[in-house]
Amino acid sequence: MQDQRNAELLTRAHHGDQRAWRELVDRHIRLVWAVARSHRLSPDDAADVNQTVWLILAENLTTIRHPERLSAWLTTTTRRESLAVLRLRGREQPVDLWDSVDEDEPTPEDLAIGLDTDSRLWRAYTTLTDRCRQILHLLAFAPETPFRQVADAVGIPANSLGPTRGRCLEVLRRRLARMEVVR
Amino acid sequence: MNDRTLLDALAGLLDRVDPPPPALAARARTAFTERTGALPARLITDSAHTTETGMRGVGRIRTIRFTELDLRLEPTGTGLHVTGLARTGTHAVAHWPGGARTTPVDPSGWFHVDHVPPGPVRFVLRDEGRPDIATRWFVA
Repeated sequence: MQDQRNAELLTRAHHGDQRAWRELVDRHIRLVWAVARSHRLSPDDAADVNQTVWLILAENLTTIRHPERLSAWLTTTTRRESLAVLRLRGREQPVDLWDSVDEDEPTPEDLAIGLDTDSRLWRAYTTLTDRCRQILHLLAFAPETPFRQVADAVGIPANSLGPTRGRCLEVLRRRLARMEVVR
Repeated sequence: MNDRTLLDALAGLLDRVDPPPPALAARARTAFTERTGALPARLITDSAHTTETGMRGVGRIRTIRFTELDLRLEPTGTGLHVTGLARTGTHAVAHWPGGARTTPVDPSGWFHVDHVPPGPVRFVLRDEGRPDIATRWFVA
């Protein structure tokens, strides 16, 4: 059903239906944003990548061969544009979204999520490696994305994604347990 | 907590900690109005896709080759200075969301555009009586 709806929305958008386009955007914008941010782009660069991805999709409404894999298409396109921006910027001013998590003082994120279960999950998540965070970020927002596309998006061999995903989740769960969240 | 429950909790958390800025969705929706019926120029090479990350400075000037034109984009204090070499068309149009600037292509195929705002951009070649030819959108 979800697959058919994507196909329908693409077709309707191609014929000028702005509501269909809006639905496509609303349905996938979190994913596109997450992929851009998982590459540690600044908010401004991530916003530019995001806008560019939607502009590219708008021009390719009839060329998406597998609407059921629209999430994968968006993920791959966003990764490609994100990497181009990283190369353009030469990583001169890398933005580390998670830099301050180990400090004792409350971070803006602390204040946003409060000192509850979310806070412990956040702290456990931020102790993971970059690669684990990228993989879990994508799987969290686009669970239907085929492993091969997720592997492409994070730059690892497809046959290692399954084991890596399992290890990342296991580490996350273990660290949560250590914080007495998972009993 | 099974895998899916854990990932769902993570999605909810990330959405609260680092949500897409509200203006982003509005901008994404306007992408729909930027569609054109132009023929696509095929990308051949882009220095932003071939330069190694972490190499300082080399990314300052970007060169992109499409089937119908070459582009050289140089950041300046007032936007991008773009030099192009078109293999067809009499005019080149630099497009960005909500704006555009048209410049003539000289008999040798060269054109220049100044003050192109950084961000999403595409270039269109125009020739009277022929379909427009457009590059894909990219972040400049």
